[in-house]
This record gives sequence, structure tokens and C-alpha cells, in this order.
Amino acid sequence: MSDVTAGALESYLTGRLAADVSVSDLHEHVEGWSRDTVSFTARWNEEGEQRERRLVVRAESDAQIEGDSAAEGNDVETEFRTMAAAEDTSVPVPETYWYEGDRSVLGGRFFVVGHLPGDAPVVWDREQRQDLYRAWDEREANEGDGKADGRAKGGSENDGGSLPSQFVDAAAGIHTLDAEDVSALADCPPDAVVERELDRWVGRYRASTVRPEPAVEECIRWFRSNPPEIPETTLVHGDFRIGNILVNEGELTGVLDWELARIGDPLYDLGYASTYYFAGKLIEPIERPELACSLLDREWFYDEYERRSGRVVDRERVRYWRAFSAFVMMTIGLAGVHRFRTGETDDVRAAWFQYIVPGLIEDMLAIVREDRL
Amino acid sequence: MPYLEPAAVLRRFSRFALEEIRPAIDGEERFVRGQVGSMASTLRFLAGELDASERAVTTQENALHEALDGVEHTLDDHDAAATAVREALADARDTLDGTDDEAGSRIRGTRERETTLLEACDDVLARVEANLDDETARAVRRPLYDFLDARLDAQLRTLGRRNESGDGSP
Repeated sequence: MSDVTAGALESYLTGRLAADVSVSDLHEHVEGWSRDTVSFTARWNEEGEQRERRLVVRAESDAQIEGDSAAEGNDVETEFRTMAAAEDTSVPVPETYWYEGDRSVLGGRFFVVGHLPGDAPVVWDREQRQDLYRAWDEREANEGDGKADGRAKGGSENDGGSLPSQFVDAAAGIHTLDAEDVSALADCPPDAVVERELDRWVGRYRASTVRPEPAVEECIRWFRSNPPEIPETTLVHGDFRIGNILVNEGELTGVLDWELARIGDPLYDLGYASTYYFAGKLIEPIERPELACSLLDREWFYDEYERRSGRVVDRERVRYWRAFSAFVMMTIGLAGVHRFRTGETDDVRAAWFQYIVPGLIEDMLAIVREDRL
Repeated sequence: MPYLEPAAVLRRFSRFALEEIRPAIDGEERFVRGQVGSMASTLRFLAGELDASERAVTTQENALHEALDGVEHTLDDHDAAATAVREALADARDTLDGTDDEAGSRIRGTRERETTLLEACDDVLARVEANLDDETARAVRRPLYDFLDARLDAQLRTLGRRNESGDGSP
């Protein structure tokens, strides 16, 4: 854990704001894995007026400071620059303030952004999953009454509306940016996207493999022999799911965790959000498999995304990315298992992650078998 | 040898961690509470693995035997020479013979037996991909996928799955 203390933050912000800053109400956010995230309240005096702002610091974890454990995601500066670029879209993201590359300040590189209200739903919690189901059911009921997503507030017909509708807007909004808009991310020509993804994630899988798994090898062969044709690239969030979205009183207030962002196929985000895993499946099947992220009907999601983005949603491509996303999640899980096995971490969650693997293989194989048999 | 049954000890530890230790941790210590929660469920899964691992590997061994027979019949039906695949079949059977006789079982632990099964299956699947035409490959894969399904089913049941469907629906 990096040294995010009130004193260290006060010292840093006093320099940044050229004012005496006091920091209080530190709250450590333990939901994430790859960064140390702490929210806090900063107070200072500016031209005779008392200012107060709730902020969030996101810092490198110990593992990232010590070695190459950031291999699954971008470095902290790239994440910051990506979020800054996303501020220019309709997507709600935390306001970006400062990036700091000097590790002596907090023990690791970090950035500071504004705090947004809300909580990220946990789909593996049955009660929270039920809340998401209700959001969809209410949208469906309202659609019957003709008021589901059309409650315009002086903007487009999609302004306001239900949480499922805002989820679609967020996806479409992210994909309005391309490589030129996000200079922090390496560009990738459309015809190289699939190979880049395969090289990256299969390489990571090989580096983390504990034992042979013929079903996974079968899926890798399928990924390699059935690459979809990618007509264009955009910014891709890379970890687009309801668990990385803040929801406050039924409203989407922010899209978080941009460390897996890259330039790639926008439909990747749709496939990723459509996995059963991100609808709450671990061991047992989920209650409503037709709902992406437990929140919105898949086909409605794709249809609405098409309508709002003007982009054709090739279902076969989404299906490919959906299988591949299960592979990515499995690999991230196995990378944690590998770190635990080698003693790189004592985090109990890393050992626990082995138990998500069979369910993910089951989902991958269900898609692959449709073509292979 | 220890006296207590290992899976029962793990279950007791799991319950203790969840019911006694976790509630005793200050509500502010969310990270530590989360760690204890993960530890408790890991202990419970481990207990299930201990109970079921021997049985699960035997089930997989039987399933692979059936799969290999199925592959051979399918090749015969398709009148396919498929030398490379038949060689892989023979190798896989040799491997299985080494694991399921009594001496083999004694020498090799459950985990090693399982690894051997997985390697054998993957070798056959890879040869199918590389050596057969599309139609024959589809037919030959079917019994091998039955083995993959049997393995997944055994793993998920070990972890506590009770529902039948594997397609995400209850």
C-alpha cells in the first residue's frame, strides 16, 4: 500500500493550490485491485473564501511499484491522460486535476481527480443484482407507458432516462473518441487489432498457466482461426461493465477504472459487458442470463447502441469478443493465482480467483462449440 | 498421520472465520474484513476439493476413455486414415494405462493423474485441428468435447454447483 496519508496529501495539495490545505475524512476504497484508491476532503482558503472539495487519489499499488505486475493494464499516467481525454465526451467521468510522477510524494505515482457521488454495483451480490433487474423491469414497464428513455431535458432524446439507457449512452459516448483524441494510447490499425489482443492475452495466459487446460487451448485455436474483420478503431474502455460505473439514486454518475483502455474495436466493450461473469455468474448459473451486466437485455443493448452510435453491431463480432472477454477475465484471475503461487502477493483474493476459472471456461466453450461441432 | 479429517477441519476454520473473526473486525477495516471473507470461502472450496478430488479425477479418467473410443469409432466411420490422430490416440491410451492401474495410482498423486489426462486430451485435440478436414474434425471433436464437459461439470460440482444448466440460465 502506498503512503496515502492526510499529511502527505496536505503537503502535496498545499504546493499545487498555493494555499494552506487541510485534508480529512480519508476513505480507502478496497473494491479495486490494481491501484490504491483513497477519497478525501480538502479544505483551503482562496481569496478570503473557504473552499471545500471531495477528491480521489489513485496511486500505484506496491506490486506496480516493485515490478511488472501492471502488465494487465496501463500505467497510472496513461490512465489519467485517458480519463482527461474522456472528459471531452458526453460520458460522465471524474474531473481530472493532477498527475504526479514523483514517487517520493506518496510512495507511488498517482493522480488526483474529483469525487463523484454513487456506488459501483456488485453483480455477485444477490441483492444488488436484484436492484439491477428492477432497473430493467421498470424501464420495460415505463416503455409500455411510453416514458422509458425519452424524458428529454432539453438535450437529445436519450438525455436522462433509465439506468439501462444511460449505460448504452456511456458505451456510445466512449466510442466517439479515436486514436487522435487520446494520444496517451498507442494507435493500432483495424487489421492488427485481433492479433494484438491475442498476442497480449495469450502471452499473459502462458506466463500464468499453472496446469494444462485442453478446453482453453481449444478456445485459443478458435480465436486464432476465426478472427473477425474490424472495420474501424476507437477508444475502448476495456473494462466496461456495471461494476465500473457509479450509480447514485438510479442515475449513472461516472465511468471509472480506465486502466485497461486501448485503441481497438468498439464492439469489444459490448462483448465484454455481455459476459455471464459480469452479470454475476461464478459457480451457479445466473437467474436472468438474457441481461447484460444484470441490467439490460442484450439484444436491446445492441439495437440501442446501433441507433445511438450509428454503428452497425455485427453480432458475430460481439460473440467473438464475448468469448474472448471470458478468456481475458480468466487470464487476469490466473495471473493473480500465479502471483500468489510465486509469493509475489499474500492477498487472499489472488488465491480465491482460481475458483472463477471453470465457470469462465464453460462460457467460452459454449460459444466456441457452436462453430467447432 | 493426522487424526482429524482434513476437509472437516477446513470447514470448521471457514465457519469460524466467517461467523467469529469477520464480525469482530472493526467496520472501518473493510479491506481486512474482505480478506477474511475471501479466506473463509477459499477454505470452504478447499474442503470441497479434498472431498471430491479423487472421485472427480476418476470420473474424468472414465470420460476420457469413452472419448478416445468415440474418436476411434468416428474415424473408422469416416474411413479416415488420420495417422497422426490415431498415434495421439494410442499415446493417450498408453498414458491412461499408466495412470489407472493400481501401481500407477499409487505412484502418481491425484493432481498428477489429472494433469496427465489433460495433456493427453489436448494432444488429441491439437492433432485433430492440424490433420483432419473440417467435416471429420467436427465429428471427431464431439466425444472429446464430452470429456471437456465432464471435466467442467466435475470442477463446478466440486465448487458447489447444484443446478443442472451450464448455459448461464438456472
